[in-house]
Amino acid sequence: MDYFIDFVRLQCIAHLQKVILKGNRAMSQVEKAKDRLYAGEGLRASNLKLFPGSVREITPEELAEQINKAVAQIEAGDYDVVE
Amino acid sequence: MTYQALRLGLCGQQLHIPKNTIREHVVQLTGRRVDIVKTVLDTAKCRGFYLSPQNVEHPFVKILGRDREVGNDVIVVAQGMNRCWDRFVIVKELMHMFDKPNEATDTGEKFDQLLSDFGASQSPPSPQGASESNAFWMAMGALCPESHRQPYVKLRLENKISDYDLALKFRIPEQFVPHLFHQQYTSQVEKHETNLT
Repeated sequence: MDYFIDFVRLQCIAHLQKVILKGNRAMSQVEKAKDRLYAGEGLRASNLKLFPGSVREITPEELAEQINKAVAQIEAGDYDVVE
Repeated sequence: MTYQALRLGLCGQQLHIPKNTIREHVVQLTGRRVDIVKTVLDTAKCRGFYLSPQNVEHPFVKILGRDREVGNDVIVVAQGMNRCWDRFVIVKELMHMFDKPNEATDTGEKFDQLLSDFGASQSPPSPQGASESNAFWMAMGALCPESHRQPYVKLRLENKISDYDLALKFRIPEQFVPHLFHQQYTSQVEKHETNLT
């Protein structure tokens, strides 16, 4: 019986992990950025280009995270104008 | 031929062309406005970006300008970089105001492709990725007029001047000095002059 309960618990944990992973994928930084940039309620960007950093190989997630962060900061007023 | 007009307009300038001089020329040639702002970015990952938002009701657009209209662009630059990096990042992003319609990153799919182009992708870059490289060479051409570059070609070849000293003279990041004296430099820059926009 104990063995069965452990088995069910493990199954539940595995299922929860899948749900969480699926949720994380749905809310990935790239997806968030696409939503922010191109959705009807978003910025409706007609162009976007990037200047990469010092790390030669960068993942889409890392780049998208920087865009999300910068846009959110600017929306919050956390920026300086370059005259 | 707006990039050619930009280079012609800048060729009589002193060696250290202020970024605002280039900005004014680009704004005049493209008929677009641009705001430049600094915020916190991880410079190991991203030094800045160019964005052309069309939703004037969006909080990001509203906070940047009181009288903004569709077509106003934004350049976001990382805080904490030195003046050479600041200037180079801003001018490279200004060059995207000359982007052709097929180079624009205007959909989620093209955004995915652009991000992949920055990674370890072995496939040829998308038109969006290729325009990043084009803008780099266009920025070099704008910041370093040929009349100022030529006298240093021979000096560098004979090791009479270091890349560090050249970076100081041209006020560009030292890592880009080899590009400035690359044998394909002239052809890389000039091909954008005949690239109709």
